[in-house]
Amino acid sequence: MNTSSSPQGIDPRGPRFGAGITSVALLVTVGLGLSDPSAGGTLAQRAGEPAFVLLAVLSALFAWGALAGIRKHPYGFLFSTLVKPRLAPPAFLEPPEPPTFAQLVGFLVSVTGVVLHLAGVPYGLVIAGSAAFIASFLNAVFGLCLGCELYAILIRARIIRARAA
Amino acid sequence: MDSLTVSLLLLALVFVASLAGLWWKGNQGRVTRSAPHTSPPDVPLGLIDTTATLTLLQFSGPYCSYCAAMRVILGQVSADNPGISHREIDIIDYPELTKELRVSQTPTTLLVTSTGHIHSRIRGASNATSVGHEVAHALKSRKAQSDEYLI
Repeated sequence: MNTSSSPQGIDPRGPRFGAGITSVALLVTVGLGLSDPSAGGTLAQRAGEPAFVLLAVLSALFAWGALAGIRKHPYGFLFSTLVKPRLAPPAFLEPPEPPTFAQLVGFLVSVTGVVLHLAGVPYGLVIAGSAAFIASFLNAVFGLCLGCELYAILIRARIIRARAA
Repeated sequence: MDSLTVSLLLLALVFVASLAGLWWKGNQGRVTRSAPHTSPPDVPLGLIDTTATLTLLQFSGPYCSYCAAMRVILGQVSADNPGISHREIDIIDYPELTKELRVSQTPTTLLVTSTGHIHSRIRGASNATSVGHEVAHALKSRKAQSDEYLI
């Protein structure tokens, strides 16, 4: 009956560690973006801005996590080799689906910023970057998976179609 | 934009995110009790254990960080207390019920009586102590109700 169980869980601190790195990088992105939020100049100039390059890299990392799964994310490798050996065993294991879904949500938000900036929309990068920052910060600091909370609301609102009974 | 303004805006962003996180954290495991009422049942009887005094009905979902942890806690509470059953359903399989019962986060746990009436609702993840406390309250009020019927 229940489809959310997974035979093997992951250490929930792994994705939170990754979200910590991501949130710091996103805060830097927003800071860089804010110093010149106009999104002016030519397409090539906009694509060369540090804030844009950073957000593009972060989008690619989100895409990696969403497509390959959270277990194969480079931050996951960093966590299991550098951080995990120094920690006590986790209190509980988490299924890999929620953090993988969070990566997809992170990708959609950050890639929106990338597209808006390329299109020359002022503050597009800053706003998308801020939204992605809030989500990854909440994940890192509080263990809240914002995308997962949204999923339940989407099901309730029937925006996501359920399986045919 | 000058660097002072940028720094202030970044601080504001961190502040807002922290407030949102604290608000969420404060609401995790929040319990609300339903007013006692008569027919019809809130929950289809097929979803609960009608032979048990109380069913802990857990709503889980495919993207749920704490459902597995909650499953362990509720399983333990039902094992420790005779007459308490634990059932788990997926919101994807029951979208109508999810909407009808206003379940907007997973895990959500309903304490359901054998007649299918909701005694209380636990939003989000909770701990064994709080769940045990709420179960004890539900059993006590069930007892009070049945005593009333005897009079």
